[in-house]
Amino acid sequence: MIRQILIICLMLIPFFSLFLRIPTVETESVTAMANTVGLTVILSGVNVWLSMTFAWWLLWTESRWRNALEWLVFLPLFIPMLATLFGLYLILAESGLIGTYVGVMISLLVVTLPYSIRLASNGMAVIGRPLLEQARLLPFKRRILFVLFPLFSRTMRTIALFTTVILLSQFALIQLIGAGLIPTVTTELYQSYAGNNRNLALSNTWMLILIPVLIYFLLSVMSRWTVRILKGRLQ
Amino acid sequence: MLRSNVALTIIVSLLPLASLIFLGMEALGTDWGALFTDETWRDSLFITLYVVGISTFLSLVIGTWLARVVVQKRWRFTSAILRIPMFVPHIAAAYLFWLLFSGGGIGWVEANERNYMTVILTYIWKETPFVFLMMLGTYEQLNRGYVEMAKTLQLSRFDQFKHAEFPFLIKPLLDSTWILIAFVSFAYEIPALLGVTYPKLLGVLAYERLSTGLYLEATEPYAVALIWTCLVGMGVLVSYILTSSIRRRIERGVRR
Amino acid sequence: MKTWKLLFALMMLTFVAACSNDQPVEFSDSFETAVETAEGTTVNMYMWGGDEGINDYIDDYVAPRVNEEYGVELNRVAMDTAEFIRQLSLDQKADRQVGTIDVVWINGDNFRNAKQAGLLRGGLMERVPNATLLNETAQQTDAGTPTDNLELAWGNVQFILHYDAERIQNPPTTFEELRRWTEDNPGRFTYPEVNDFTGNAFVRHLLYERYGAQLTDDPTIDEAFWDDLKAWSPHLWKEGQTYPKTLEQLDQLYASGEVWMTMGFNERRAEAEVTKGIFPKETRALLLDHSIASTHFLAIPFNAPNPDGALVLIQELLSPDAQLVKQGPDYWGDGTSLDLTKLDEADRQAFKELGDGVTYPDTEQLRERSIPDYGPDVIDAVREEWPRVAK
Repeated sequence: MIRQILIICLMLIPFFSLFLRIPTVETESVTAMANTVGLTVILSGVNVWLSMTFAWWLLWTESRWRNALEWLVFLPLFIPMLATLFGLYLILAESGLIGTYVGVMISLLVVTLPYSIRLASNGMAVIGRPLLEQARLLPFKRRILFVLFPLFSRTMRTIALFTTVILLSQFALIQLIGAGLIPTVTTELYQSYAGNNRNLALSNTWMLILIPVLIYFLLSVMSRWTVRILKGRLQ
Repeated sequence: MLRSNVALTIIVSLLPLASLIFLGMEALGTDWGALFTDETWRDSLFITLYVVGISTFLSLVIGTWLARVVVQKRWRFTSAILRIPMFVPHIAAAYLFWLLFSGGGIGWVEANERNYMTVILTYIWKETPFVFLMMLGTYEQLNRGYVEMAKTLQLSRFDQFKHAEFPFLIKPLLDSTWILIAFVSFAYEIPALLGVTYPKLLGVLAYERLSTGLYLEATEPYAVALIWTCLVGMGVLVSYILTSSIRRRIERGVRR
Repeated sequence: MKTWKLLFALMMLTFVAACSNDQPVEFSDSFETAVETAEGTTVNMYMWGGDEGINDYIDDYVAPRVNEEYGVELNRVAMDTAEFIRQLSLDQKADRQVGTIDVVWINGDNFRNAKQAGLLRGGLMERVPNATLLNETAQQTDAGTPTDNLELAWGNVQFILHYDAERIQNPPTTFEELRRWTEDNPGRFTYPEVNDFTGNAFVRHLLYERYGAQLTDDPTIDEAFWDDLKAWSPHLWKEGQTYPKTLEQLDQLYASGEVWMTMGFNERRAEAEVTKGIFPKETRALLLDHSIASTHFLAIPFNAPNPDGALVLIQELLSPDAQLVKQGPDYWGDGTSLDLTKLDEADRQAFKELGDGVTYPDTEQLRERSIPDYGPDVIDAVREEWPRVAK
């Protein structure tokens, strides 16, 4: 018990300085908020979808490219953001995607997908082929709905969480690829850290912390509900 | 459906590698001799290794230990609390720690000091939950049978861990290690706010050199990013090859 | 296999379609036609966004005015100057002829870089009618770099220090005295790193103290200067082990009372900060031996998607009305770039009536001690050699 309290305290101490100030919710930019929530939801969805299918494919494929491809999706994790950023800009500029939502989505996908795939394939590897073998007999839709989704809802939630947090940490990427035209909460708030108003920076920190928490709990509730409904249907 | 998804994933994964080619092109004109003898870069490398080494190692140890304890003792509430730092974006975390440790600090831990203690602390606080989460999945799904067997064989506690748990942890541990190293070594926000003027961490120095006038045309930051990426890439390859046989044995054991 | 091929074909198609490069959008022939074509369009103005007063000035004062007068929608985008310059240089690399940025707020080495890389459009003087009202000396050079008609002066300020009069009864009056003051009050003074615009300027003031104007022709700095600076550093904040990365960090230190002086371009900048309660109440101006005069500018990038709208916006920003409100205490307090003698009597009078704030320095003295800036060579030399001071 004492150990638990100690751990919890240590984890929470840094928040102490937050309470020097009550958050003032800055409703100034509705677009920034809408962009953030929209990007988070879409990106989480795409990430879950792509990473789970890729991990599934990786688990069963007999392709001789399997190893190479596994490495290919793994390696981007080790390239510093700073290094990819400018190259990515040039590639996207060639395709006219700078300053567009699609461009920002693609670039965010580049930084989040490797994590998601790693999480997904680790999750599947732990359960292992034998358990999943039976699921393969089911048709595609039923397989996902009744076996994979309930089984991996936790992994999926983790993927969504990672995506959210990575997205909220991205300042340079969104600012550069979005050419400043796609404001998110992060790009809006980031400016205050470069400013000289400590109180403003502090209340913005509140926002940056509360938003992912809210999104995460929303997703949790949603996934729990769907799983419950599915289970109800099975019985 | 499955195939097009896989194809899309591959294309997305190819993008950063394509950017690496760009990096290589930009780094072409670098005077390598000058780069390796440049004291600023060298000092920056040393301090980066120091910060990365300590913060990664401690995050791994603490994160793994926490995952183990939380699963064993079923500390559900603690487990929920432990996730919280994950929600905090790096820039916000840096600011929180800066508020906490600037202007006097606590003991020998003070913001903007050459020992980089606050930077290390911030990273540990931010990355431990990451490791915790990576390991939690493994521990939750770990086959308890092995541990029971180790207990039945009356192995010491360390040997129990070594034989019944550690082999299963190798993969997520390696993953986390390299992800952390790659991330921490080239990150900007935390060391920019909590670091010092000299020596700077690699990411800060590179970013600065890229964004200030004098060095706008400079190729060194690209070269440094490229070398570092290659070094990390090599580390990844070697460590995975070295552990491949044991990992394969584990996977087979679990699967068949 | 089919889906693979389909996807691949789709990818190739987007790339091929995208690679056909657009032609850049040109200016209209006259300002009148520019006003006509600009109506109903949006102008993206990129500028540093760390100061609320400045942001409010653009959003609450300028934006409604250009909308009313010209039917132009103003979209302020907050971005660091170095960052949008890099974006422009990447655009150039990618041959992106129709970009996103219409107007930029720029000066100093960022302008020098943009100019060298050919990122800006020329011929602004002839295209913006209000440019005739500009102060000619201010318009001529930008921190030593000739403007060459690539940018128009937006504001005109001077370098100054501010101190907390409640903590400092007898403030130093020269740089020499400042040095001695720090010996008596260790840890209460510092300046930003020289990568920062302001930090670099502070070191240039010290250089001027030793070398005067001669450095302009021959930018070689003695070892002794750096040794002296190094010898001074133990008396600074954190014993000179580290320096604030930016002026804003120094301001935060000043606001929290950790250091007792701050500095910056714009002699009126502290007024709003004091009123808002960010800076200490007793903040006063501190004018030392000399003060570099600096001008900041507006420019239009080579790939501006709406150059006519950009002209209209600049015309508005350089109007006497907009300049008057900018200099006033309500938003920003930024000195006008207009030549007051070129204005009509009523406007001139309005500028004179703006009056003084408590944190303003003596206007006469400020003008007397004003010095021109060294060229970019000195800025670079400081950047290159200063790091040994921080080691």
